[in-house]
Amino acid sequence: MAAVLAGVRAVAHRLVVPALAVLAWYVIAKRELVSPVFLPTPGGVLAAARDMWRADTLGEATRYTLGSALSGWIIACVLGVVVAIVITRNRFLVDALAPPLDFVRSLPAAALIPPATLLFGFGRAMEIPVVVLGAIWPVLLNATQGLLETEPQLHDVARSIRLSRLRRVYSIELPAALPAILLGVRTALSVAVIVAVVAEMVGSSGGLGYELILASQRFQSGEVYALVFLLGAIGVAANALVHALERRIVSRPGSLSTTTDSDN
Amino acid sequence: MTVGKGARAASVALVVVVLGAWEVVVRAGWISFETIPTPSATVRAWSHIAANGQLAGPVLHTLQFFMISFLLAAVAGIVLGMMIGLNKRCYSYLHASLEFLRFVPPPAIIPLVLLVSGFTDRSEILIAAFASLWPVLLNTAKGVSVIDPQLRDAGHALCLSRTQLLVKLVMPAALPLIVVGLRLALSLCLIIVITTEIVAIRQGIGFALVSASSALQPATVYAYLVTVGVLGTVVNVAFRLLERRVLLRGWSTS
Repeated sequence: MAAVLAGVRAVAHRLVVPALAVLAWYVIAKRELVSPVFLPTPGGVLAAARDMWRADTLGEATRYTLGSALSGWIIACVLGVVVAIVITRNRFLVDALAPPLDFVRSLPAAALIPPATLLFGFGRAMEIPVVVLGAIWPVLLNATQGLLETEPQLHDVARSIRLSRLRRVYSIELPAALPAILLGVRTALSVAVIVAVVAEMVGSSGGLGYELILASQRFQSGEVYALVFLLGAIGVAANALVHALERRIVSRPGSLSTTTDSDN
Repeated sequence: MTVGKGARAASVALVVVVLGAWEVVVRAGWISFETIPTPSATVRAWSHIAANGQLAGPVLHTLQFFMISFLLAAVAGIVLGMMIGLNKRCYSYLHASLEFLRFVPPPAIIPLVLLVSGFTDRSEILIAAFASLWPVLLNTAKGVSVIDPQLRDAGHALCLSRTQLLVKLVMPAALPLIVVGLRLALSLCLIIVITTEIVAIRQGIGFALVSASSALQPATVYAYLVTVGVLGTVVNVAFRLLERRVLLRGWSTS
């Protein structure tokens, strides 16, 4: 009972500031201290969200964005881990590839949109490659680091029981690198959502990014706020989901749960 | 990552070989990419835009807006972060909300700001400064809130004034975390400035990229893209040099 009470109190504690913020927002918007063109009331935002939901623009846009972001994310994760496995076979190769990779990584994902539209045209065909290129870095870097940091004793064991190279990667190195890889995978998901939205703002005819720009150009402030809140919620939910998954996988009995400090 | 001398030579060789092979393959007509230029065409396009002023203008615009936004974010982030972090009660109430806001994708606020202040220069600064405020603010708040109570007691025992306490004890102790926040904000700020230019503001290197792309000039697009990469690298290296100085100074005073 006491624990429940403490839990309720903790939740209430967290909600104080958001509640005050919404109240202030309501008062400012209701009194029209700021023009309603810029600041709709909380009720206005809810109404806009309801209308968009009924017209299925909200659902369709969300499906479109999540579709691109998730497929790009999955490709980025697989590709990132595979490339990391290949280059970590040779320490020298990792060092030699670092500077050119760092250069490409320093490019903002949005800057890849113009060349990608030249290559793939507008729409999803352009969006997914840009998402992959934007989201691959956290996976690639963390996986590389994790694979390189496998304990030397494990390598010795693998050699002494004569594991094949493939087997060594699969049953020794990957499990040891798993926490680092999962951290990269989690970061990659939020990057994927962000890049997908930006790509839609510039060169797609669907998705939350496209709807956002459209609503902003038509001065539909209620729709803009509703979409921004939805994006925020998606960002938070995606992070929480992968975090939960991460904990479950890493603490799975049988897998090595070495903790690495590869938080960038 | 530390890179040995041999590896550095190898990486230069690698880049040269890849670019050379690409040039040869396209020149020999084995494959042709209409939308991916050869390295030599990119270099030619680059010297063309560098000569007729289409490079300096956008680069200067982007750099200028990046610096203004970053400074704004840094100052506001450190001041707000200290105010929040030093006040225990305030920090405990705000913590959850701030952590939540951190996960809102930064580009989502682009349309919001556009709605309020239109497709103007001010919007570009507001968007970039707002997006890069969070890493600085959160790290500063965390840095000053975890200060060793003993250190604080020592300060009180020495009868330091509030300002002295802040400057002599709190700041140096929180500095490493603040610098981490600033470094995160730095790359984020440049990314958001360029992203905003690509999405909405018709100025700077981001817009130059978009307009070269819609004019179907692949070589020019890649020339700008390489410039963006160089810009990012230069900004990061410059900050790292600055960081070493500031950090070292911070440690020597504490």
